[in-house]
Amino acid sequence: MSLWVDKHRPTSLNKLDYHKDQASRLKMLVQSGDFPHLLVYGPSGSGKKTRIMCLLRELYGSGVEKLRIEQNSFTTPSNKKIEISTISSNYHIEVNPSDAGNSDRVVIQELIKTVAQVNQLETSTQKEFKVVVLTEVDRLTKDAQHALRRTMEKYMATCRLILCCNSTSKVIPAIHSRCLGIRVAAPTIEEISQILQSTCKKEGLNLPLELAKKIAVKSNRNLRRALLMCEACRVQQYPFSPDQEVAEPDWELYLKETAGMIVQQQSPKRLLEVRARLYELLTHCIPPDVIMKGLLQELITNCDGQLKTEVVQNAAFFEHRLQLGQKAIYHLEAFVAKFMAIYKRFFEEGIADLF
Amino acid sequence: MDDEFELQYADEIDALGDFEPPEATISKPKRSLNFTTPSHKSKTDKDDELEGLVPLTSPKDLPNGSTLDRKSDAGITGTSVFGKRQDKKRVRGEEFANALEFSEDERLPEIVPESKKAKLDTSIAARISSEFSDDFDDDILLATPEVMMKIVNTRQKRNTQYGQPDTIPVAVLADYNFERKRVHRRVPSGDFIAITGYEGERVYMKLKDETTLEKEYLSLKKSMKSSQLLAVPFEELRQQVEDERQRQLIAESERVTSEVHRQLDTDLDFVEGDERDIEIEGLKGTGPPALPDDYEEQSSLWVEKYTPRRYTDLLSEENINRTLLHWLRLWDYVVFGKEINLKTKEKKAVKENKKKKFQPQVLEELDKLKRPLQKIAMLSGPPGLGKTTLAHIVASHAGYNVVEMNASDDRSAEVFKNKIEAATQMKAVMGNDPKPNCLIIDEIDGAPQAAINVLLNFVKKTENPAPTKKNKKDGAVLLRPVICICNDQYVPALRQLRQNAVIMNFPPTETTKLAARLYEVIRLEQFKADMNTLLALCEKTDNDIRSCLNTLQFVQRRFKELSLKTIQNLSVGHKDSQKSLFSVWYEIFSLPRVKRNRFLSLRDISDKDLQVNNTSPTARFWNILSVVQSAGEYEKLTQGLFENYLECRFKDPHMEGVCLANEWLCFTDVINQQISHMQDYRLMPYLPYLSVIFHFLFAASVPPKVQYPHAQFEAFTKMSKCQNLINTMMSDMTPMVRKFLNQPITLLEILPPLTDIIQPTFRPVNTQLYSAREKEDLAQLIRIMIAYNMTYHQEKTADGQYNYILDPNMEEVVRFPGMKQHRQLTYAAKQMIAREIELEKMRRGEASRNQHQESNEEKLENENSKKGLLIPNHRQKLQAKPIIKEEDKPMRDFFGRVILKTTLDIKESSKDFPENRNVLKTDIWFHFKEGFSNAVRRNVKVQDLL
Repeated sequence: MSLWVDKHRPTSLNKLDYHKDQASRLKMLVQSGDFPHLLVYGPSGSGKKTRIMCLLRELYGSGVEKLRIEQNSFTTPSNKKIEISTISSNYHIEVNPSDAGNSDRVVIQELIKTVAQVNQLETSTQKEFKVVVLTEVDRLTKDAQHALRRTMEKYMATCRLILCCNSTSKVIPAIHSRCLGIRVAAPTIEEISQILQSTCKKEGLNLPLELAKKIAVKSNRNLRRALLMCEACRVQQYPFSPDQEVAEPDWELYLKETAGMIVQQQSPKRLLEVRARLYELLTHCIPPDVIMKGLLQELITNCDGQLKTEVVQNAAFFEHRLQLGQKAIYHLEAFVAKFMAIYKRFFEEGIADLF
Repeated sequence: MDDEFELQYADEIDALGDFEPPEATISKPKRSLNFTTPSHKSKTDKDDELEGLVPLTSPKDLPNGSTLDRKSDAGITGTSVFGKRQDKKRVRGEEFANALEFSEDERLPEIVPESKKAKLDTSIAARISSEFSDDFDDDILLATPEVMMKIVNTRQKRNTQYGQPDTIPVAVLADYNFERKRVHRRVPSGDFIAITGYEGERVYMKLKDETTLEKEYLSLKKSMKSSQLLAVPFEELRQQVEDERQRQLIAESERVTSEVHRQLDTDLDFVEGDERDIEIEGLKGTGPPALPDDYEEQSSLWVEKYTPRRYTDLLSEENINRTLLHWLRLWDYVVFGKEINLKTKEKKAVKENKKKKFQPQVLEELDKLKRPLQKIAMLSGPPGLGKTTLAHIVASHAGYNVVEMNASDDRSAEVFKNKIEAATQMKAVMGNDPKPNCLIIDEIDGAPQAAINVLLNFVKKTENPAPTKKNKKDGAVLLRPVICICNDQYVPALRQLRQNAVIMNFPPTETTKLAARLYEVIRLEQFKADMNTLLALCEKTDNDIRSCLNTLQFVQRRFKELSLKTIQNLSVGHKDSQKSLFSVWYEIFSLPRVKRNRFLSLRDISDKDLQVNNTSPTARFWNILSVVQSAGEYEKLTQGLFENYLECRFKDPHMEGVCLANEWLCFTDVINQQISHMQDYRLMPYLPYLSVIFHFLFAASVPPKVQYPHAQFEAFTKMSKCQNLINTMMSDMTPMVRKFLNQPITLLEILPPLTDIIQPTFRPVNTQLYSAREKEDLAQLIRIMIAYNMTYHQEKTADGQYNYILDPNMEEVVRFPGMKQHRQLTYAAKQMIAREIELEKMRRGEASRNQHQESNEEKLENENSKKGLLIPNHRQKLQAKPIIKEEDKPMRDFFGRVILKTTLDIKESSKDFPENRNVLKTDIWFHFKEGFSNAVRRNVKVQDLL
C-alpha cells in the first residue's frame, strides 16, 4: 500500500510491534474457539483497528482482507432515509453508526439484525459467527447504546460485536459489562522511535535516532501521526539530518497562535479577534472539543500553579456545556473570556502585591 | 352595414346624444308613467276609427308605440311600425329595419326593472331621430305616414290602458320572433338573401349578425340613465326609509334589552354577542353610501357607529386626504368625462362594460385621455389609522361605487384576476346606483406574489389595443382607479407595484385630534372622562383610533367613569406591535431617555404606582422584556447580540460582565438545544432574559451601529463545504485505507502531513530520463494519491491562467490563513502527475479486467489441456461433424414402457436403413460452411499501447 502507515501495518497478531503480551492473549482467545464481544478502547493512533484487523485475520484467514465498501440505506420510523457506508468482507462488517447522527439507533438495529439473521455458510471450515465492528461507539447516542445491549444478547449465536472507541467514559455500563474490555494503550516514545527506525529500514532509508525521538515526541505518542510525520520529513529532506524540522499540522500552529494572542492581551477587542480565529478553526471542521483541549494545553503553560487548577476547572465546565449545547462558538468564547478575566485579575493582583 | 353606418355618423349621433338630456328630463315625469307624450294622445283621439285594427296586430309590436314621442320624427317612425305590421313583407329601407331592431332589442332585457325601461324608451327615440334626420330625403320613404300614425297612436293608446309595456304577457315574449328579417329592394351590402315578393318583385333580406345587434342594444342602454328625475326610484327610497325605520326599531328594542341585561347581568360577552348580530343585520340593509347627513347607523360597536361618514369627518392627516382625493379626481376624465360632455362620457363608460370597446370614439378618447401616471394609490401605515375608512369615503365622495377586496377573500392569482376584471370593467346593471366602480384592495401586503403580479400586469397594460379586432380578448385596460391598502409597503411582493403607485404613508393620527374626537364620542354616549385621560389612552394605544374606541367601549361596560388609573392598569388597549430586529437590538444596546409620565393629574401624582420612571431598573427590565418577547425570533436576536456586544462601549475592567454575558449565551444555547432536541417548549420563556442581561451590561447612551449577524451562517456554509470535500475524498478511497480512518482522524492526523507528502521535488525533465529511484518515488506518489482518492485537475483562474488544483481540494481544508507557506509543485509536475494518475488508473482497470479474463481463460485452458493443444482461432478450421449413426432407441409409449415391435416391423426397418446411408454417398451434397475473417478484428490490450 501507499503510505508508510498503510504499507507497513502489521497484518497478524504475531507481527505486532508492541503490547505483545496482549496480542498473544488475543491469539489464545481466538484459538480457544469461543469468543466474547469485545470493547477495544484506547487513544487515537495506538493501533486499535490494526489489532481488530489482525484478530479478524486470525479468526477467518486472509479472506477478511478482501474488503468492499457498500452503501446501505435505512429508513427511520419517521420515514427519513439514511445513507451510510459500510466496509465489509465475507466474514465481517464494519460500520460507523455515529455517521447517522441522531438516528443511529435505527442503523444499529437494522444492520445487526440483517447480519445476524444470515448464518455463516461453511460452518465446518469457518467460525459459526460473523463479526460486526462498530467504530466510534463513544459517539453513539444513549438511545442507540440502549438498543445495542438487547441486540447483543439476542444474536449472540450468530454474531459477535467488536466495539471500538477512544474512551469508555461515554459507553453506558450495561454495554461495558457485556463486553471484554481490551485497552490498547498508546505506544511509548521508545516504541514509536523503534518502529520509525525499522520502517525506514524497510524503506531503505536511514533514520537517525535523534530525529526518530523528536518525531515521536511531537506526535504525542500517536503512532499514525509519527509515521506520517516521518514520511513528510522524508519528502522534505532526504538524507535525514538529526536536527531536521518536523512539520506540525497547520491547525495546531494556528491554535497555538490563538492561545498566544489570548495571553498577550485581555480586552473585549482582543476577544473579538480571537472569535474570528475560532470561527476559522471551526470552519475547517476542527472539532470544538479538540480546539478547547488545544487551547487549554497552550494556555496552561502560561499559568502559575494555583491558577492552573482554576483554569482547568473552568475549561472542564465549559467543555461540558459545549457537549450539551449546539453552537460551539458561544462556549469557546465563554471559556476564552473566562480565562481572560482570571488571568487579568491574577496579573493585577500580582502588580498590586509588588507595590 | 350597420357598423359602417355607425362609423359614418358617429359624430352626429354623439352630437344628438348631447342635445338629448335636457329634453329627456323635461318629458321625463310623464313618460315614466305612461310612456306617451300628450301630443300623441291627441292624435290617437283623431284616429279612433282605426282602433278596430288593433286586435289584428300582434301584441309583440306594442312597445313600438311607446317609442313614438318625438315631435318631428314621429311620423317617420310610425312608418316603421306600419311596415312591421304588414308582416314584414313590405319593402322598406334598412333604416326602418334599424328602427325596428331597437324595438326588438328592447324586449331582450325584460328583467330590467321598470325604471330602466323608461329610460330605454327615450334613448330609442333619440336614436331613431338621429338616424332619420340624416336620411330624411331618402326615396324609399313611404307615402302614407298619416295612416301609419293613426295605427301607431291607437296602439299607444292601448298601451296607456294596459299600463306599462312591461306587463306584456310572458307567453308573447316566448314566441316573439327575434330573427326577423329586414327587407330591401336594392341589393344591400353585407349578407343578404334574395326573395321574390307577393307582387313578383325581387326583394332582399339583409342578414345581421348578433354582435351588431348587441352593440345597438348597448348604445341604447347608454342613454337611459339620464332619463330619470331621481337618482334612486321613489319606490326604493320608500323601501329604504321603511327598512331603516324597522332597523331603528329593532336596534332600539335591542338596546333596551341590552340595557336591562347589563343591569341584571355583568357578563359582558353575552350582550355583545347579541349586539354583533344586530350590527350585521344593520350592515346588510345599508343602502347606497351617499347617506343623509343625519343618518347614523344603529350598530352598537362604537367603531362602526362613529366611523366617519363624510369627507369632512376624517381624522387622518388633511394632506393625505387631499392627495388621495386629488388623485381620484385625475381619473375623472377617464371615468366620468368632463363636465361639458358628460353624456358622452357616460355612454362610453357603459360601453366599456361589455368587452367590445374598440369603437373609434372610445379609442379616440383613450388616446386623448390622460389617466394619471400612477394608476394605483397605495395607502400604507400601521393598523388603526383609518386607511380603509379614508379610501372608502374618498371614493364615494368622488362619486364612485366602492368595490372592496380584502384578505378574507380568496386571493389566488386566478380569482384575483377575475375579481379585478369584474370590478374595473363591469358595472352593476341591476343595482340602482349607476356609479362607476372604484376598486379598493385592502391588506394587499398579505396577497401572494402571483396575485400581485396579475394586478401589476393589468396596471402596466397601458397601450390600448389597436383598433384591429384581433386582440379582442385581452383588451382589458385599466380604466378605473385602484386603491391598495397595506400595513407594510416594503413587503417584497409589493416591490414592483410600488413603482407604479402613488404611495401615501400614513403618519400617526394627531393625539389631540384623536382625543378631541374621543371626547365627542364619549359625550354622545354619556360617559365620563376628562381630556387628560383620553390623551393617556391615545398614547397607550399609539394613536390607534380603532383600539381607542374599542377600549372605551369596553371600559364603558364596566365602569361609569374612565379614570387615569383604569387606563394604566388596563391590559386591553395594549397593542402587540412588532418591531424590526434592528430596532430591538438598538433598544437593547441603548439607555432609555428620560421620559416622564405626562398625563398625570395633580390628584394622581401622589399615587406611587403611576409614577413610573422609565429609567428605573424595573422599568428597563420590563420594557426590554416586553420588546424582546413581542419581537420573537430569539435565534436571530441572540446571534445579533453575540456579534455586536463586543463593539459596545462599556466599562468592564475585569471582564466580568463579558464573562457573565457569555455564560448567559451558553445557557441560552443549552436551552435551545434542549428545546430543539426534546421538543420541550416549556423552556422557551427563559430565552428572552438573555437580552435583558445584555441590556443591563452593555447598554450605552450612544449605542453602536448594529450589524446584521451573518458570521454564523457564513461559518456554517464554509464548514459544510469542508465537510463535503472530506466526504468526497473518503467516499472513494481504497477500502484497505478507508477502513482505518474516520473523518476527524483524516482531518486532524492524515491530511496535514499528507498534503506535504504528495509534494515531493521532481526534476523538471521528462519522466523517461528519471533514474530508477526517481521512478520509484513517482510510482509511490501515484499510488498514494490513488489510494487517497486525490488527483489534480486543470482549472482556469480569474486572470485567465490555467492551474492544476487538487481534486478534492484538500489544500482548502488543511491550510489556514497567515500560516507559513508550504511548498508547491510546479505546474509541469502537477500536469505530469495528473497524467500518470490517469494512466495508472487505466492500467489497474485493465488489470482487474484481465484478471477476470485470465481466470476464465485458465478454466478454458484446463478444459483444453485435457483435449489437447489450443489452436489459435485464425488457424482453426471447421471440421465436419462426424455423422454418427444413432443407435436405435427402443420405442417407448406414453408411460415410458418399451414397445415391443413385431417381427414384421423389424424387417421393414432393416430394409430402410441402407437407403438412408446411400444419400451421403451420392456425388453431390450440400454443406453449410461458416466463414470467418481475421482481417478486421484483433484483440489489443491497453497494456500493449501504454
